Amino acid sequence: MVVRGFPLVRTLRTGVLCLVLAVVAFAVPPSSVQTTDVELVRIKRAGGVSVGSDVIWILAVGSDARPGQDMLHSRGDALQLVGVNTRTDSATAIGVPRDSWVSLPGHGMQKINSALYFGGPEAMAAAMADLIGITPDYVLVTRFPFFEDMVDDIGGIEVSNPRAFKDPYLKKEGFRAGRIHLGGYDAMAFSRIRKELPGGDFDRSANQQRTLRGIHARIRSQADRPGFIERGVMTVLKHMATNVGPAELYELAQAVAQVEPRRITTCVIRGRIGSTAGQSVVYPDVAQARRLGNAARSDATLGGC
Amino acid sequence: MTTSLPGRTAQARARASALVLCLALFASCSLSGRGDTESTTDGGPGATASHVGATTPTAELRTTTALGRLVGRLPGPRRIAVRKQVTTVIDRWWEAAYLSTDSSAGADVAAAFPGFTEGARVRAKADRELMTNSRLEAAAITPLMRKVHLDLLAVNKRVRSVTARFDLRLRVTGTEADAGAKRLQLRGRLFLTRGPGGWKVFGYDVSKGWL
Repeated sequence: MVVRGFPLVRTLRTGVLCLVLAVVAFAVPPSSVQTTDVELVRIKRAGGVSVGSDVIWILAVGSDARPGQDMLHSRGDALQLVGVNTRTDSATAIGVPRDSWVSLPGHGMQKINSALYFGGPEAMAAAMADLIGITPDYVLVTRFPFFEDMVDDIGGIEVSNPRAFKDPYLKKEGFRAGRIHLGGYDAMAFSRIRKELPGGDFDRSANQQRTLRGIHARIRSQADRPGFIERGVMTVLKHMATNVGPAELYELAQAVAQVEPRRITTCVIRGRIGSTAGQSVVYPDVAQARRLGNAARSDATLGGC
Repeated sequence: MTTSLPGRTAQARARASALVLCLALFASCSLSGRGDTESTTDGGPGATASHVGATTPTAELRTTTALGRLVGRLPGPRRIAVRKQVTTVIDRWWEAAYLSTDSSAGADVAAAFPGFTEGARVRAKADRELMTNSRLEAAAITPLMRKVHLDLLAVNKRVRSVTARFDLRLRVTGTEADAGAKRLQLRGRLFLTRGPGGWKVFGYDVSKGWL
């Protein structure tokens, strides 16, 4: 042991000495050549985009359409009204429980998610405008398998999960509480699971907002990688139903990338769970919905829920 | 002893390895400490590097523009065309914002952003300290490097958007009170889409610092 240990110690000592020498050689330039040994350089940075109006409202809809079904006339499973303020680099998301019981023109009282089924994106946008008081500028509809691909394409996301939960069908092993990494499938499951959550549909909507935050953080951290935004736009063009052109999508993507994470605010519209016409529904707190809409309409910022 | 020989050999090998590591470390440190390193990393899938000169009124140094990442398909002549067009937009901004003596004197910030959309111009004016040399007191400003890489999004064989990654380095010669020459670096990205009047800058992400 001693015979073997001795050279090891000596070797280590030699290595450490070399390391110290190397560090010193790197950190301290020869004094005879340079008079300035250390410089602390301040780099100032500015960024911003302008894409027309200061605030853009996007209705993000996760469709439950099965393969072969028309996604633009299916039921929206996830409903998030997202505002982006390109002047202040802030953003907000107002989540709407999909079972919110509202009046749809020509169809009487219905769950809000059926607006997409009855009248496509325009009717879905109108239903959200009736409830919240904000008419979206864009409606983006995607189905969950494509959503999974998109999350995988950006390398997965990180979310802060406030509580552990699982689902026997979507995620048997469940999600642990804390900061967790989600790939495409897990991001879908995290956004869809409802039954084990104490707040049901409301907590699910909040989880969808956590997913959106995770997607945003990932986009922002990668946005300066050459070609990242361009590839993202191409993916969106392939996976989303949109009548927005590539250039406009690129502008939107850059606007989203500029949003500062600490300037993101989110709320879920509250409500009372009940049943009517043989189905479980949410009676939304319309007063709160209107208050949130009024608060965020002009600057995409919420002071509280 | 024969048994000690392998030990000595092992010692010698270990010591030699440590010295080699040491030398490698020295070498890498020496190299990394020498001169400026370029962080532009092109040549990925679909990347081509060809250069095009642009009209640059200031001195003889011309802007070198290369194609970075191309997402989608784009015929060669259109690649050349977009490089020329975007280079012109960037050159006009650089001339007006950083290289013209009028700009350095803070004369006309409003005119420093030709080729920007109205909204981007408003934001850039608010960021004038970085987006121009308007508050820089200098007797002369000379470009040392003018490099641009373009990342393109092409759909249906047409360019729909451009991300221009740039590196502009300037020698700034001070006024009489501060006669020393210093080097200024501007790096960042411009975001462009095509409008009725050609390519327009609708956003930017720019950093500025002394070298």
